[in-house]
Amino acid sequence: MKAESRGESPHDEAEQPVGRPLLSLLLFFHLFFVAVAFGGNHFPSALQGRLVGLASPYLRVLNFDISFTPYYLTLGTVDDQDHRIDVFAADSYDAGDDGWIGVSAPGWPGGERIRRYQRLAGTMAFFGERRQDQLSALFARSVGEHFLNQRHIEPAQVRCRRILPQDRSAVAGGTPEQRNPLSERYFAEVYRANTIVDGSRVGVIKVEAAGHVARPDAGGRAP
Amino acid sequence: VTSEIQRISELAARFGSAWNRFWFTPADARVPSLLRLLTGLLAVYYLLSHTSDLIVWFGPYGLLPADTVRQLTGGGGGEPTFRPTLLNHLTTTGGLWAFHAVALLIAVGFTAGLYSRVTNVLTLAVVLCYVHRAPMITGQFEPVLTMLLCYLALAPTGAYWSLDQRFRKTPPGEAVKKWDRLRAETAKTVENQRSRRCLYQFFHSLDADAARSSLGANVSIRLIQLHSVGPGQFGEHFEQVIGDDHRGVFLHSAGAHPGLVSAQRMLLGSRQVAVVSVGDPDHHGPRERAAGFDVQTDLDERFEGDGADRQIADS
Repeated sequence: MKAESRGESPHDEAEQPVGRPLLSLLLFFHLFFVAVAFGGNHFPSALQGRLVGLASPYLRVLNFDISFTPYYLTLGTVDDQDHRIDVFAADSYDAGDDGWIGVSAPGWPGGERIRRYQRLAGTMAFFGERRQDQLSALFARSVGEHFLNQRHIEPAQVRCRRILPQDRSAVAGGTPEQRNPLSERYFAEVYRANTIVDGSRVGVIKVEAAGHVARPDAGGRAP
Repeated sequence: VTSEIQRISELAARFGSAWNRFWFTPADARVPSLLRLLTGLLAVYYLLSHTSDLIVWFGPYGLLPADTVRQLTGGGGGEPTFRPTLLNHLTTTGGLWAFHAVALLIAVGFTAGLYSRVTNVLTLAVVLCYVHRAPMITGQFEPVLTMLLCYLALAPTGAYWSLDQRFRKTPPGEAVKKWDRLRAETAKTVENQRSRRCLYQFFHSLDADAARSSLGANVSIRLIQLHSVGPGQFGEHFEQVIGDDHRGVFLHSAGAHPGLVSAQRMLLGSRQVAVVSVGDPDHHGPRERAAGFDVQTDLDERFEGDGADRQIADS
């Protein structure tokens, strides 16, 4: 078939013997690995994991391997709920629950800025829920050191809480406490750790259960 | 056997022909040019959204130190994570601000269409720097942005509505017209080897964006189309929830906006959909019906005990 009859330029035809098969091969490999990476975003099989690992120098560098991004609309699981991280200031012992300071900044909830804080808390909660304490502690330590050195607030405890959804009937006709979305009843703690401050560094010790929760002493240091 | 072989070879030829048509038909550069404008604005927004918290996240004693990220991404033992980013090496506040300012200038330049190909690649690079610096705080926005930037780099995005076009000697439309005119004039003699050579040489004298790179425009658009798949592609997850009956599942909160329900109906087309409602089921029937779902109250046992009321809707 002549190039003209296909509506192609002579230049395309000149390139066809080498260019098109090579380009087609590249396109095929690209689409194949992107499809595998997307398909293995959640619960990847061993084969998917191996294939994604094989192409990781390409997929990860260009951000096609979105292993940290849940790529579904919604499943309504606990991981889809919002989380927040709070720090108890060592000098706020007398303030009780008012001594907790949220990590996130105020702003429009739909904006990327606020979502980043929620994703940080969500990732910390993800590890906390699965008892991967070593990884949760990484977050807690970073948050503690951030408060100590950037905000100049000595941390006594770091916690991560899940925000439970409000029931519609409670909002419509419940008690004032039921209607208040910031009521304690709508929060579930998934991780809490005492902090040990050493100069500019912060160490953390996980509080294992409610019965083990130790309030910070007056000096702000965990027992 | 011969007829079977012939049939298979015809099928292969048809597939090859369709493949070539799909990928290698030159396309107008207007679409990628428009996408450049929109994607550039998204890139600027993305970078601006980092401005107020730049030091909070990435500065000295930030919320996510580079070492923490390295451990979380599996590089704690020194193995490569394939997440290269300049931001890991910027440890001072001044360095971070300088990088951020340059990144914003590059993104603005790309949006305006200044040296589009160069600023396209550079915008992709700086956005990837932010993404790889803290991948755990990225959401669904970043993969779409980097995908668009990546694919647009293949296209002549500066052909229209750009500073490149303004400073160019030959308008893009003129180059195409010249090419078409010449092709029509030499159509009869195109088989002649000398004419071919002339055409080939002339090709190089044409504006590259308007003629040669239109193939790049098509490949770019096709890749974006293929990459932007609908929710039906993620049916696997839905099936895990509802079972093997190939229904899509959306969880509606009681306060979900009716527009959301309609959007889901539109996105799913004629797929069967199970609407799992949380809260008072009385609030859901009219809304789903209004959105085009045929709501049934066929409750599925597997949702027993999780507090969800079920309404199965077949569209």
